[in-house]
Amino acid sequence: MNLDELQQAWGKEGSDSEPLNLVLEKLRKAHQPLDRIRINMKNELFYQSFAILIMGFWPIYFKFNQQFSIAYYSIYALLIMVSLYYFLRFYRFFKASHQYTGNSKDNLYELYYEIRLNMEAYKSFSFLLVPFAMIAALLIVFNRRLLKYPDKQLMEAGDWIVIPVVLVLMTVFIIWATNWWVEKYYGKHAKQIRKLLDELKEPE
Amino acid sequence: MNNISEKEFLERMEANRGILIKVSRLYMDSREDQEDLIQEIVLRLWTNYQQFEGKSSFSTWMYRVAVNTAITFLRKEKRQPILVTETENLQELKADDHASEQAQQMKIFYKAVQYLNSIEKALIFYFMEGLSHREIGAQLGITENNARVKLSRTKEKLQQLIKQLGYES
Repeated sequence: MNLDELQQAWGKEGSDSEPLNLVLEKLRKAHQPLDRIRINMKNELFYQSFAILIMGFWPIYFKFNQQFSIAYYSIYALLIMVSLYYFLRFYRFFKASHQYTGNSKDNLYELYYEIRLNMEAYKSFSFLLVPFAMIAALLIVFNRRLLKYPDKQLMEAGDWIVIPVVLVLMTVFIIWATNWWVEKYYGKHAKQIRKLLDELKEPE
Repeated sequence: MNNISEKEFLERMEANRGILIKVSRLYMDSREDQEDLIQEIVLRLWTNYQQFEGKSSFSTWMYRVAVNTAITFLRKEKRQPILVTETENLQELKADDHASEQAQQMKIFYKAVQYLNSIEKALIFYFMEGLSHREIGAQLGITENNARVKLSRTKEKLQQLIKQLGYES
């Protein structure tokens, strides 16, 4: 088959097709990596914000005393502030529209860095929740002990080993799980775009 | 954006629908995916239409947005690509007496193109549209020489694919 000769037939392609009859309001988009990432992140952030809201009621549910409640809400206020900063950041990401008018290489680079940047922001937001979760867990444990054995000391001898070990293991697990999750659901798009960029490299 | 520009935009889309149809057929093999891709391209064109300043021709601008959208287009996850892996489908195409020789060639061409990656499809699209190596390079953001080398390799690959599909003449 001669591709040069086929150009003539190519020129006629689509000319005899039915009119498209497009109605802009009915057109839907959800077929670009950025759109998919935005949809997934939005859903996940919705559940995370719901969880953060529920955590605000923990002192009542776990019957914290006044000192524990003050400690808890102090770090909870910090958590809210950090979360607000990230939610605002992600909101801007969801609202921004990507331009497709540049050349393909520039367009792919922009997409690639936008995805990687938001993946990293998402990861750092998740990591920031770790210390809060640890302190909250410790407060819950100690509060239970206090309610059960009000005359005993809060820290037992074994705690000096058990608590740090559990905290380290939890931290390692959360970091691993967050990385795995983000790479699995968002990293695949970045990898596909990286592959396309490699295709555009100068021949060696 | 007001109604007049929306009307003008849609008229331009109809006038240039050949570009939309060709890009969608090159990049997607099923009718549903082709329709989704056309919708996606039109939406991207519409959202970027305000920025079109007429510095380049409308078709050049449309090529870019259409190809950039198609390169990263994700088909619906439940839909699987329908690729021909054996020559039997091609025999059906050949046996279609009603289609002209050129129409048959186009069908085989589209089947073979489905085995190319997104960048190779873009190279073939621009080549078929009659763009020079320099213009192809500008559209893709690569050098003229790189465009020449890649296009030559892609054309060779495509010819091989067409042969593998059983088309010999």
